[in-house]
Order: sequence, then structure tokens, then C-alpha cells
Amino acid sequence: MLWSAYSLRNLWARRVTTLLTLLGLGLVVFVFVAILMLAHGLERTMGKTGDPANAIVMSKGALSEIESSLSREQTGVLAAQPEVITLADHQAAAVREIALQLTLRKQEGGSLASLSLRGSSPDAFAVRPLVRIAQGRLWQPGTTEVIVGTQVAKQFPEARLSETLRFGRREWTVVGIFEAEGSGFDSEVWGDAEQMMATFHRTLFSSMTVRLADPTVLPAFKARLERDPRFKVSVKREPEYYEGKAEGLARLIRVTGLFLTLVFSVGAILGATMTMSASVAHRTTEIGTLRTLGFTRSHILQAFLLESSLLGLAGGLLGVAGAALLNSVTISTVNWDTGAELAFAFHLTPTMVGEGLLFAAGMGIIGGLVPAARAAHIEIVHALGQRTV
Amino acid sequence: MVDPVVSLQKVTKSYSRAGTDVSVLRDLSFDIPAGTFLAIMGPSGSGKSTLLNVMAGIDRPTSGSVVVAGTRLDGLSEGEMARWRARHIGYVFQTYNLIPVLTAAENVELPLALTHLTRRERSDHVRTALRLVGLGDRMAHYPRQLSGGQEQRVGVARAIVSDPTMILADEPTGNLDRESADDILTLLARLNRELGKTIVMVTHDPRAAERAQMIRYLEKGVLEMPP
Amino acid sequence: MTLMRLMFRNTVRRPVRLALTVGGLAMVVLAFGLLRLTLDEWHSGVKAAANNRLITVHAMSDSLLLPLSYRERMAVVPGVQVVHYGNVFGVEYRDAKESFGAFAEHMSTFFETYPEVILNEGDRLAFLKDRGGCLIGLKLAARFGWKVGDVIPLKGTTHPGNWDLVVRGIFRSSSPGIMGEGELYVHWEFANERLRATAPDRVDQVGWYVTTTAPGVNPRTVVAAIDATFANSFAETRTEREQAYIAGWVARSGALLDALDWLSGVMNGIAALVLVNALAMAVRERTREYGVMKTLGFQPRHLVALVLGESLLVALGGALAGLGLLYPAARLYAVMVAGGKTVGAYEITSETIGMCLGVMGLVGLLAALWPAVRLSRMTTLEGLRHRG
Ligand SMILES: Nc1ncnc2c1ncn2[C@@H]1O[C@H](COP(=O)(O)OP(=O)(O)OP(=O)(O)O)[C@@H](O)[C@H]1O
Ligand SMILES: [Mg+2]
Repeated sequence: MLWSAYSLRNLWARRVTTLLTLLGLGLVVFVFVAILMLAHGLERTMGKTGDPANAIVMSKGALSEIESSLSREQTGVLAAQPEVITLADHQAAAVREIALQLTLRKQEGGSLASLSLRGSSPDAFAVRPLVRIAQGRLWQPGTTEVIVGTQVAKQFPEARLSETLRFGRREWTVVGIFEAEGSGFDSEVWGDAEQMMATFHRTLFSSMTVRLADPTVLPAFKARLERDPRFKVSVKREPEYYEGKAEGLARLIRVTGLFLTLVFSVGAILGATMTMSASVAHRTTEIGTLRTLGFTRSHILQAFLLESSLLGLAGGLLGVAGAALLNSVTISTVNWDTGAELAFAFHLTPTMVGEGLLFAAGMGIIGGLVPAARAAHIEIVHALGQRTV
Repeated sequence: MVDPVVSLQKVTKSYSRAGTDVSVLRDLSFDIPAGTFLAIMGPSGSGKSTLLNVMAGIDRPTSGSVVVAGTRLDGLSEGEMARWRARHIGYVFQTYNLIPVLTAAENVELPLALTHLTRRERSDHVRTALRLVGLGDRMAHYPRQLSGGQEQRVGVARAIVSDPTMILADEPTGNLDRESADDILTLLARLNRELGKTIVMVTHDPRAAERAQMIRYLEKGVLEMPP
Repeated sequence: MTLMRLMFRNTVRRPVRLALTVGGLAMVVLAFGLLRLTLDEWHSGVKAAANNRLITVHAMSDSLLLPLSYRERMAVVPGVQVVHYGNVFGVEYRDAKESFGAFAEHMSTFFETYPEVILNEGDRLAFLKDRGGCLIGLKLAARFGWKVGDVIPLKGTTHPGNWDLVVRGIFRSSSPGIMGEGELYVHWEFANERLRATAPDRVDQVGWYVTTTAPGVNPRTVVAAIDATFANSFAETRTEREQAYIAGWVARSGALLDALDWLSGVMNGIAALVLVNALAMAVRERTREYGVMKTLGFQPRHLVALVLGESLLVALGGALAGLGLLYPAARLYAVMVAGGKTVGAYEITSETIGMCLGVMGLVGLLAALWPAVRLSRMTTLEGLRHRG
């Protein structure tokens, strides 16, 4: 008890230096946690896109929906597969869709951005139960009405409720806003597949998403369809497909972020070492006195390590507190894997708080190691003989 | 009649601490003629250092006028005061106060950085000053490689190198053994005698004070003749 | 003179602390340099863009295709010199992790449209003659050890089927920001032919048109004229000068780039903190000496110059050490970011170096501010009375 009071008072006694070191450590931890939050937020968004019991079927070889094409007959056969569940009205829980993109301006005078435009049918809501209409209503099949995700409505003034979009020489009215629990669908525009195919002179769909009885059925379903030469399709679990579509972005955030954090954590550690060294040098006489009083070398070592880890922890708290302010802040940027706009939010988890604090304490302890060892090895006679100026 | 180098008129210095005024110097008035070697003695805390610092222009009196080397100090700004100090004052500290990262020669050269002397002139001045204090062979030594007495001799050399009007020394022998102290005092006496420097030295040591031409006691803020 | 010496000696007075400070600063400079390189990489295309090239894409989205028939209508737009076109040629080599950029281009106009491509005449003619051949960049060739004459087996994604392409030439680029050396090129006509069987919806369509404007023609008028030509057709176009087009793509990543920019600011904050800390310690330790110097007649500005000089010196040391580390680190970083995909350029330019030095100079200046203010406020007596 006395020991930690000793460490604390010493930190306080040199508060300017302590504060500067704290700020340095805090900034590093802040960046570290912020990057974890961003990468996690992105993965969470993609992981929530779709349902584990859903399978997305694309043509063989296609890496994304936009590259894939399925004929009308193919989609019919696919919907009739026994693994696909049927709905109350004896319809198969399957939706065939065409993937397009739409370029709009972000804010007034802002940059252009592409949006995922999904030609779909109302079946989509049966296949993806997490999506629900938040405002307005569903599009009327057979018309050029569209609905937009909440993030689209937020980021693109041209795509707000009741606004009219113009593309393919036709006018498309936004009649509803749908909400998909922060998943990637929130950044999409949905409308009638047949209308869009007619507009763009297409005869082929892009993909088909089917709902299976439960997630465990999928591997067998996938194996059977992919092996059968008649289908020429590849099958992926829906959320896994979308997760794969953000790998580039996630890697950039993690690699850039963590590489930089690593590099400048070394800077902060050196800063902590400097502070602790000065603290030791300053207190040589004091250390000699303590040793004379009967404190052992290991006591001295502990006191200094405690001091430096307290320093680290305090910096960590500062950094984590700062990062917590970012929680739920949304970033909207282009997802390079698809070329389309994607919104995702910083997301703080208790694990990250722990990791941040641990990281901070670690930096403090590593920084304090050498000075503490030096302090512990000071000779009493030498220490008492030395004047501190 | 020699002009006074120092002339103090009704100099008062008081500190207010926790509401009460502690007056250190009270209505002090005196002159120091040029070429004098004056020793100031007095009990600890009597204000000797304060008085010296007022004369050196590193402290200001609460009231009264201080004229040193023909300049009235009260009106000067910090910057003017510093320039004036560089020109007229050589200061010797009790604790030497050499810059540890500079050699003896460089320490002595330091005040010359404020002059417009050429490099040659400077090194000549430095050599002369160090020879004068008997350390011509220690030019390249760092302070930590010198004894206390030698350090203080470097301190004296630094005080005289720019040929100031007067030398002020605050207990220059306070940290030295008898022999080294004698060396320093002999040196100061020589500077006074041979170069005609005005010297004011604060000291606790009666034997040191004896080497001066004149001794004054500072007690209760007032300067008195020795009893 | 003496002051200069004193400044140097003060700087190296505490070698351990100096090493720690310079080390800490070097780390920050390293991180900062890497960030600048990343940002430069992003903007490199914008700088390298050619003035006379225009890009035309589908107005609705870059990912939608335009009919091949637009070619003739574009060629007659006044001011247009050459009409070139191409598509993404999505392929996988072995597996998805080893994929690289590949394009199907109309080869009879490719070389005159992109003078950046450097290829010897023999290989160029051989490639033009072999419809099933391909052209690869130097970096791509180095990555997989491919040589002219090798057959590359690829699996198509946008162009379904298996493609066995013979390497006919390995090119270098005079401007990697525009024409990377990590890509593969095939004949558009060859790629298009096979689509008839595999993806009839996409036959005779192109991803983009690139037109070059005749000398002396204002590209702006051509931009407007092209878009006017296709206004109210079912696939309207969006034409931009190459620079604006690339800048538009960079802007789409604006939020991320802003974050990186912001991060590099935070970093300089850390650098400043490390330096302020070291300086504050040093100045505190030397307070008495500064008092002595004031007694000798030195002015506050002399002392400020001493501290500022020391600060700048240490900052410079940190900058140089950091830049020294930047060279090897940039290479490692390029590989890590790309995840083994394409090795980006991450070239350290004199601009990067200047930026690092400049920023550290600023940090050195800022770090000296507070100690300097303290020193000039300190009276001589306070300095002399100071006990370490
Ligand atoms: N900044 C200050 N604030 C308050 N009181 C001060 C201050 N500086 C000096 N004093 C007081 O002024 C008085 C004179 O101090 P000074 O240092 O001049 O004494 P001195 O005669 O030199 O003593 P010594 O022989 O011990 O060196 C002392 O009582 C001291 O407490
Ligand atoms: Mg005194």
C-alpha cells in the first residue's frame, strides 16, 4: 500500500514530465484501439450481411455477383432444389437478383460514389428476415419504384425518400427506406429485377440466394451443386461471401494501422524509458537512503516497475477513453473489392478495452525495465555520495 | 578625489512573505571608490548576497537608487541590464558554476561571445586570463578534471577575461580548503593591486576579509564599520 | 562560436537520453514517412495523368458496359484523334490469392494511346501478330518468374473458361502511376470472341473508351461533345479527362484518406511530446547554468537560441535516422499491404524526404517553444538559486 503510494507520489512530483509521457502513451493507445474498432466494425458489418442459413449461387468462376450470370431456366431449377425451404404459400424461399451499380453524388458538391443497385423481388424479404422497411413502403412489382438502405438515405441527398432518380432513360422513385441492422445491405438500393433487366437490355440474372432449412445443410448442398456439371455454378454461404468482399479494405486497415501502431509504440516506449531514467537519476540519493533503511534491490525494482506500469495504465485509460468517443461514428467509403460505397462504424468491444490497457501497461513496463534494473543495481555508498544536481 | 564606482542611495530591499514584510536592506547609502578591494561580512541571512546582487544588476532593490560604473540601474530594462553586466561586471560564484560540457578555455571564452572580438583576439584574451590565474597549462581540461581550487581559478579567469569595470565575488572561498582559498585571495589582491580592479567580496571568513583594503559589516540591513 | 559549441555539447550531453529521443523521433518519422508514401501512392495516378486522354464510361456506373458500336460515333466527334477501348479481364492464377490486374484492350490503338508502355519493337510485333498472346509488366514477370514464350494458364472470372496465354512481351512503364508494371494485357477481340459462347450478354461491349484529343483542341469541348452524342441513348456516357477520372476514384476513398492524413497529424503530436519531454528535462537540469550565463550578461534570446538550436538538432537527428529506416521499411510495408498481391511502388521521393524534414523542423520549433518561454521568463536569480 505504502509502496504504491510512493510510486504515485513520485509520478505526481514530476507531473509535467509524467503528463507529457502519459499523453504520448495515450495517443498511441488511442490509435491502436481506434484501428481495432474500425477493422472490427467493418468485419461486423460484412459478417451481418446475409444469413448463415442462406446460400448465394453464382455462375462457376465468377468472383462477385457483378461478374456472374444465371439464366432464367437455371434459376428455376435452382429454386426447385430439395434443400431449399418452402414458404407458407408453397413458394420456394429463393430470390434471383441482378447486381448493378449506380453512381450518385455524395452530399452537394461532394465526390461521386457508386452504390450497389440490386434488382430483386419482394421474395428478398422472406430470404433475408433481418431486413425490414423502416419508412415508406415496399416497391410495387412491375414498376420503377425503388427502396434504399438507411445509410444511402443518409449519405446521398439525391436518394432520400420521395426523391426521383434518373437512370437508363427512366425515372425511379424512392418509395421506402429499409433497415438491415447496420449490415452491408444498408448501403444498397433495391428495386424490381424485371424492370432493371428491361432497362439495361439484360436477359440474365446475376445470382440467386436461397434459404436452407438450417446452416448445417449448406456444405452438402454446396458440394452437390458444384460437383454436378449440369449446373456450372459455385455456392457460397451468404455472410461468408460478403465478408470476402471486404478483405482488401479490412487488410489495409489492419496492416496499415497495426504496422504504424507498432512503429510508434517503440517511440512511446523510448519516451517512457527516458522519463523513468530521469526519475531514477533524480532519486539516486533517495534510493541509497531506502537501501540503507533495509529495502532490498527487488523492492527498488518493484517500486520502479510499478511506477512505470502505472504510467502506462494511466496513458492507456486516456487512450481508451478517447477512442470510446469514436464508438458508432460511421465511415462511408468505397469498398475496393466491389467498387461500391460501403458504410461501417467504429465498434468498441470490452475485449478491445482490455487489449488497449494491456498494451499500454506493457509499453510502460518495457519502457521501465532498463531504468528500474539500473536503479536496483545502484551501490548504496555510491548513491549516498552523489549529489543530485 | 577618485570617482565612486558604486554609489547606493537609500537602497531598501524587502520581501513580503505570507503577509509580513521582511526587510533585508534598510535605507542603505554608501559609495565605493574606484580601485577599492572591499570585503563585506555579516551573519548568515543578513543580506550580503542580496546587496551584491543588487550591485551586479541581477536583483533590483525595492526602492532607492543604484549607480554602478556610471550607470543608473533602476531605469534599465532586463536586456539593457544584461548588456551592461556583460560590459562592466565580472562575477565569481561560491560554487564556481562552470559549464560542465565546456573546457576551461571555453568556459573563460564564454563571456567573449558577447563581444565583437575576432577569433584571434579572443583566444589571446583567454590565454592571458588563464595564465594570470596560473592555469595556462589546463586550457583543454573539463571542469570535472580540475580540483575545486582550480575550478574557482577558472571562475576568476572567466570574471576578468572581458576586462570588466569591477569584480563581484560571493564567498569565492566558501567551498575551498585553506590553501586553495589563499591562492584565490592572493589572485584577487593582485588583480586589485596590479590591474587596479575594483573588487567587492562577500565572505564569512575573517582571514579572507583581512586580505581586503576595507571591511564592512552588514547587520540588520545596515552597513557598518568593523567594531 | 562558443555558443554554437555549447549547443552541440549540450545536445550530446546525455548520450542515453539523446539516443532514446532520437530513436523515438526516428520511429515517428518512420511511421509518418510510411503514411506519406501510402498517400503519395494514391495520388500518383492523378499526377501522372496525360492531358490529352479522355475516359468515357457508362454514366450510371463504371461497372456497366457500353456498346462497341459507340466507337464509330466517337471517332467522328470533332477533336477526337484516336478511339481506344478496353475491358477488365478478370482472371485467377492458381487461386484467388494470387490474382492480379488483367485487361483486354483493343491492341491496334493501345500503343499509340499509351506511350507510357516501353516495349522493344520485336516483341511488340510478335504480340500484335498473336491474337492469343499476352503482354505482362516487368513486376508481374518478376513475381512469378515468367519469361517470353511461357504459357500462363488462367481461369477466367469476368470471361468464363480456361485461358492459356503465351507471353509475347514484357513491358516496362515510364509512368507507373498510370500504367503499372504488375498487370497483364490481352487482345480485346480475342477475349470478346469467347464470350459469345460463355456469356452472350456481354459480347461486343466495352468497359471504357479512351480517346485522345488532337493537339490544339480544348479537351473540355470534346468532353462535352462526346457526352452530348450519347445523351438520351439507353446507355448514357460520362466522359472526363484522365486526371479528373482518376482523382474521382481517389476521392471515393476520401474518408479513408482523411483518416490516414489525420493519423499522420497525431503522429507528429507524439513526436512533439517526446521531444518536449526530453527538452524540458534538459532545461530543468541546466537551469543554474542558464542563470550563470544570464549573470555573465547573456540575453534571453541567446538562451532561447541555445535551446532552439538543440531542439532542431535533435529533431534533425530523428528525421535522418527515421529516413534511414524508411528505405528498408517501405519495402517490407509494400509487401505487407499488398498481401503478396502486387508490389506497389512506394518510391521515396525527394518530396517525401523534404516533407519529413520539414515536419520535423516544425516539431523541433514547437517543442522548443515552452522551454524557451520558461527560460525567458526566468530571472537571473531564480536561475542561480535553482536546485536540480
Ligand atoms: N526570494 C526571496 N523571498 C523571500 N525572502 C528571501 C528571498 N531571497 C532572500 N530572502 C531572504 O533575504 C535574506 C537575505 O538573504 P541573502 O541570501 O542575501 O543572505 P546572506 O547574507 O547572503 O546569507 P548567507 O551568508 O547565508 O549566504 C534572508 O533572510 C533570506 O531568507
Ligand atoms: Mg549569501
